[in-house]
Amino acid sequence: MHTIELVHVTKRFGKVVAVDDLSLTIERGNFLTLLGPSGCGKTTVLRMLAGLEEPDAGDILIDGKPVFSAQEGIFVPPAKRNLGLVFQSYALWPHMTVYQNVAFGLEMAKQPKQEIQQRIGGILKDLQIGEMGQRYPQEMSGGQQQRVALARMLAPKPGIFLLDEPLSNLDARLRVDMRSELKRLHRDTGATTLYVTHDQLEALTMSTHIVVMKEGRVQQHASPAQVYRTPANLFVADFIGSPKINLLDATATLGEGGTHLKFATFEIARVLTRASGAVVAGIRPEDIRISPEPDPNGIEFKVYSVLPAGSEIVINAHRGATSVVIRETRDIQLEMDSVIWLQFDSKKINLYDKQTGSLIAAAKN
Amino acid sequence: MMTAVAFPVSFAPTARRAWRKLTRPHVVLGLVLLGLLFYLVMIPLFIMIQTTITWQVEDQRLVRGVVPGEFTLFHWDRVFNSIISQAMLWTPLQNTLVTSIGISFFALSIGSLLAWLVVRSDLPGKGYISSIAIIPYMMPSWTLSLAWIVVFKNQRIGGSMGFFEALTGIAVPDWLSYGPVPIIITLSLHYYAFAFLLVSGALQSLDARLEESGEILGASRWQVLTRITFPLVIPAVLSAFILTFSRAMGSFGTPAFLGNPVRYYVLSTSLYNNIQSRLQADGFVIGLAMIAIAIVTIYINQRVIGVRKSFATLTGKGFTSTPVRLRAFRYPIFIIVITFLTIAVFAPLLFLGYESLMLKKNSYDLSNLSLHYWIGESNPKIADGIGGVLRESQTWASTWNSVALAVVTGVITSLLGIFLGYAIVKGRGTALSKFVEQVAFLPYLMPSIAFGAIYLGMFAQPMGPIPALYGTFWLLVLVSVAKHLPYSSRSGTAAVMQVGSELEEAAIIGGASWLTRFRRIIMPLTTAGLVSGFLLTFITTMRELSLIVLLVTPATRTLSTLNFRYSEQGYHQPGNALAILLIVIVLFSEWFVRRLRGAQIGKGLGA
Amino acid sequence: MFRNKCFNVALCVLVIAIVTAACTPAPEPTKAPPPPAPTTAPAAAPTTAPAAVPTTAPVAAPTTAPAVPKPTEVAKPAAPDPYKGITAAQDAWAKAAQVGPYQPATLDWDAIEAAAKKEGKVVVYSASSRIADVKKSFEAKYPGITVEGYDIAAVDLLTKLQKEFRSNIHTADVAFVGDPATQLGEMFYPPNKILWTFVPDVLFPNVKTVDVINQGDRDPMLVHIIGGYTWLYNTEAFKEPPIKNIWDLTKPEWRGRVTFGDPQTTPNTLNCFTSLTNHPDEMAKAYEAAFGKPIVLEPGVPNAGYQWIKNLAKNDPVMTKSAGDAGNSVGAKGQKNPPVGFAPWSKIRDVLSGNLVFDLMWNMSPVIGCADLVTLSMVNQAPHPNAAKLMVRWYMGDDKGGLGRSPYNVPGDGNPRKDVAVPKGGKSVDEMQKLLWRNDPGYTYANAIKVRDFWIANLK
Repeated sequence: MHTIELVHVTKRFGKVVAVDDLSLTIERGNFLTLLGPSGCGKTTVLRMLAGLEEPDAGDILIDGKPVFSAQEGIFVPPAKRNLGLVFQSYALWPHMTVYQNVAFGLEMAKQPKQEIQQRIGGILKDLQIGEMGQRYPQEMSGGQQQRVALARMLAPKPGIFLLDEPLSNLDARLRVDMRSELKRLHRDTGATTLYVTHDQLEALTMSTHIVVMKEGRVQQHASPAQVYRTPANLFVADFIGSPKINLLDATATLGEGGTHLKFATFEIARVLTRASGAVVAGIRPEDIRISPEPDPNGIEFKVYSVLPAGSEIVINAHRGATSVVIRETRDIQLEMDSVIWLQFDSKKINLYDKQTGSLIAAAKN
Repeated sequence: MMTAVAFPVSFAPTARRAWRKLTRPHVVLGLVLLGLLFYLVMIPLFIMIQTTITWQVEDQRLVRGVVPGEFTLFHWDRVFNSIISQAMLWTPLQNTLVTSIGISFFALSIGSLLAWLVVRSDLPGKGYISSIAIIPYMMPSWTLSLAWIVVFKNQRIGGSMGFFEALTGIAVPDWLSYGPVPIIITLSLHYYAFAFLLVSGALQSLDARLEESGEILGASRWQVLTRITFPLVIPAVLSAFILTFSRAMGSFGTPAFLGNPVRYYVLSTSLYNNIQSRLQADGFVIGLAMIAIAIVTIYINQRVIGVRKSFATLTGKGFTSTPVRLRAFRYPIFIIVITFLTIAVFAPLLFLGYESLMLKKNSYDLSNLSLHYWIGESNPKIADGIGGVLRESQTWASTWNSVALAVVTGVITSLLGIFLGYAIVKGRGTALSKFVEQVAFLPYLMPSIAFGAIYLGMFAQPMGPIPALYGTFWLLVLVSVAKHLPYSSRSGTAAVMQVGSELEEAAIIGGASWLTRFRRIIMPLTTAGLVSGFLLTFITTMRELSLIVLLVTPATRTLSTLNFRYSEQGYHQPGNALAILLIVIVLFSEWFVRRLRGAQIGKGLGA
Repeated sequence: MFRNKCFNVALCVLVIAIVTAACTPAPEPTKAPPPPAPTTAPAAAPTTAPAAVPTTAPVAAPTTAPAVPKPTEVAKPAAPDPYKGITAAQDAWAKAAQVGPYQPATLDWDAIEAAAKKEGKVVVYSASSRIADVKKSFEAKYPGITVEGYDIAAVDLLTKLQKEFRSNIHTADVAFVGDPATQLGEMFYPPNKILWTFVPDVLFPNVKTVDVINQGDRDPMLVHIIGGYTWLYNTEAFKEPPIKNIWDLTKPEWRGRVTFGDPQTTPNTLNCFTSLTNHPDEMAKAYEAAFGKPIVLEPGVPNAGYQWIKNLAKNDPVMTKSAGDAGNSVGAKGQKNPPVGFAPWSKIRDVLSGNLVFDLMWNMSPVIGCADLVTLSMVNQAPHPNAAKLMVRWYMGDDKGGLGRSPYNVPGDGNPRKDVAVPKGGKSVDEMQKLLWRNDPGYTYANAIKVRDFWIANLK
């Protein structure tokens, strides 16, 4: 239950700048997810916070107290930062039993045996691996190993959880189960949590806050809903959401009742967000309505592919060189190459500067 | 290890950061090891070079009135540019190249073929074959040459006949008895096991899916072998070639036994001859020439392999694949392999054993068989009163020394290997790590005999924290540890590489100090490498001769040096008995350790 | 495996260093100055001169030293004083130990024994494995004094003593080792006063040393063995010695059938060959006897002794690892065409015990072999000087041989003591003196390596 602050933190590996002048605050009890493609520096941020890497510049504070300061030469070793860490590989010690793995941190803290036993018994039980204390990690399934890794992190009751892509090695079903368990765990312990993932779904479903990173820089720091609805720039917009957002080049002119967008093959009038000049319009696939029947307000497209996924259908439609993706939750029958009419929700279009890629105007939500 | 708190506050933060960087475990360890390497490797090399460019006391025999210690290029001139250069350097150099290349070629061919058969084919009895195939590696390389002499001795050096001549009555030609042919044959039969270990290691880690992809695309087995498998393992094979080449070049016992009678000298025997004539500086010049050749070969190797770095194409994991069917050739090949192993492994032992039972040298009568040299009482009329080896207190004292030396060296070396591996792997990419790795490899290039000669003088006085070790057991340990550094660092690096860094980081988070981490995480996880490294060192130290031959004293004499002293003095039967005793001990230890810990000496090579 | 670039660089630097070092000695292959003496061969003249050569005695110009084995005459000045220039520490030790200049004319052996018992130990460096027997008998005779005997090959033993001396380590008390050439050449005179001669005034059983040992065998060093090395033939194949003249060995009929220990690794052989070059006139006379014409030296060959060595080298000789092996080769039974060879006389034991069949070439001219000495010395600043004295006396044995000497009382290993019966198959010290050429330590020291080089250069 700590506040974490990273202030102007920079980390280089040789010539590569992994983290570039990054400042970030995680309020006490928040569940903050660092999200980004591989190599964006998110794991480095986590490792610096853990004390496994030393930044080249900047300060890291926990509860206002510096645990690292390049200026003052302060460095508090990992074990004294009151945090727990789950590695992507779990990093369970293969030569130790589950019990020994989990007990390690407590032993290091020189806790009495009795207490250790009680504590671990409780944790293992809570994590539904109570019977497996005497097994070795390699005798367990991936999901069980994951729980052991969690147990090991939880055992010394850290105030900060650091989770480095903990679910990426699990199969899809288990991943979904574990998401809710992790969310519950955060809620029960109240620990300030830093979660690193490249999976936007994990980020969106679990976090209280999301930080999207690219090339060592923060792109956006906001709530999951904000990140989804109003991505701060084209990168974030493109990265978040599945199926992906439609990003279409347009020329914007301010007109009566809103902005007029002129795309390559069609136009949308009276868009509520105001901008002018060369822009990129971001349109979420669910913000497009399909009409299989001719619709005078709609724009004619041709169905390129139909991908039904049970609860939804993802449709790719072309109009000339323009391609859009539509997410449809209604159960409609479409044939490939058939003609459809699309209506774009003009209230929900975000406009980005074509040059800088940053958000000019956000749609009102 | 993070001692920021303990550091004086007055220091600038940057200094504190630098201090923290320097006190990271792998840096501290790297620096400590670098100091150790400097001490064990660089100083000897320096002394060696220095000796060659200064007048020595014994040079007065050649040039009167010289002042020992003054600078001179006399020795270089003498070795490279005098009337004896041809005999002392150039001819031996040529011979060295011929034998070493021949040995490497045959050893590699046999070893690779055998490795492929064992790893990739459906040869019957593969498990047994691979256990038997490495036995020659555990025997001293010169035992084969002794056995060769027992069999193919001819009248050239007079005296008794060999088995072959005694049984067939056919005079053995000189070229078959002595010189390059038997040297190449016997050493190939020894070093193929080395090549076998290295190449089978590479083959095992080769992803079979790469081969299978080729097959799916319609390549025949042969095409797969030549177009996929072979190119992939070629770096390993080339490296094995270079390693074998360096080892063959440095070997001394076999060329001495098989070359000297026909004056076929190689660099190592030429070096030894110089040292025997107390021309140490000249010997060292030859030693440096040997180092130079080894360096050149490694350089060529690197140029040839180029960007295709050794093992870079191989994944670390083993894959099981369907073995290649030998079909109709299965049993014929099996028979060939068994025959080969019989010749390479059992025949030498048999002949040595038989000769050790011959009371008189020249009589192949069954009535001449006796256990005298094994259990007989000392009789002044036989072999100057050397009793049966099992009865002589000397034997047991030497056995004890050998085992103690091998165990102590093995333990220290394998531990040191893990430390080296840690410093090298954790510091990957830093100059320190590279430097440590390179310096640790240097002893590989230094001829054992020269190495021993330097240590003879170096540790006569207390040096730093090390007391005077002259004539002690610990000097033998020190020189053996130093000579094994290349192996230990390789196997240690391989072992530590397998331990993911996150396993250690998890312990850092858990609050474990570096020592605790090392003790509770790194060590247990590298046990397999540790034990394999131990086994390799144990075996090579047990049979080590040239390295320690100058350093042993009667109190520290080992089995191999006692054996050498016996055969030097012409007591062949007790010498052979000792060789067999030595081999039995080594084989038993290997079996025992393998049973106990499942270690493999192949892993000890870092293969 | 060898993947680092830096590794390349580091090693390249080494190579370059080595190569440059190798090339620098002869930047300009300058012609050597004209040979100072007519014996210096023109053929070997264009050797290069090492860059830095200290001035030397004119007889052995360093420019030609490695190349042309001009025998170095060792002038026989008034015997140098082996104690002149010893350090204060050595002087103090000698005074306390009563050795060297401080050795009294008569020794109080009871006092020495008492002091030795107090020392409790004596360390012997021995180039012979028979130290084990000496240890046994000595410890039985003097209970309370432990013998620490090191059996070390001669070369290593001398190296060990030198290194210990230079490192100021004082471990050894007694050195029992051959190669008096090196001992006198490098280890006997200050500042390298490593060996001290101790001659007991009386020996067991109470005989005066001067009465039973020739002066040459106790001054400057105490001789323990006069080791005979002789030419041998197989008595099963030959009814009489097949060779009458040493030059016969260089004739074609003995091509590939002459065997001896490799001069490069067996010092005795080398020393004995060297002594042939020290008797050029006798060798020349023998040549004339063998071939019926006076010898003509080939260019570059300094004297008849060298010429013999050269001719032998060209006659495909067979070299064995040890001198004794040559004896085995010559004497093995059942050979149709055995070689002749040069081996320790003491090998005759194997003949007496019936293992081998050979005999010495008793009437070969000009000589049948040489004598190489084994000496017995005290080591500088020996920690147990009194026990060392006891040991030296014990080593010299008594008139029956004595337990300290008896392990060495074998035929062919001459005993300097003239009051001891000669074992069967051997000869007395005076007879051996007549039969063999005794290697002169000074000459050997100054010439053996040149002979070795000459030998190597002429082998093919």
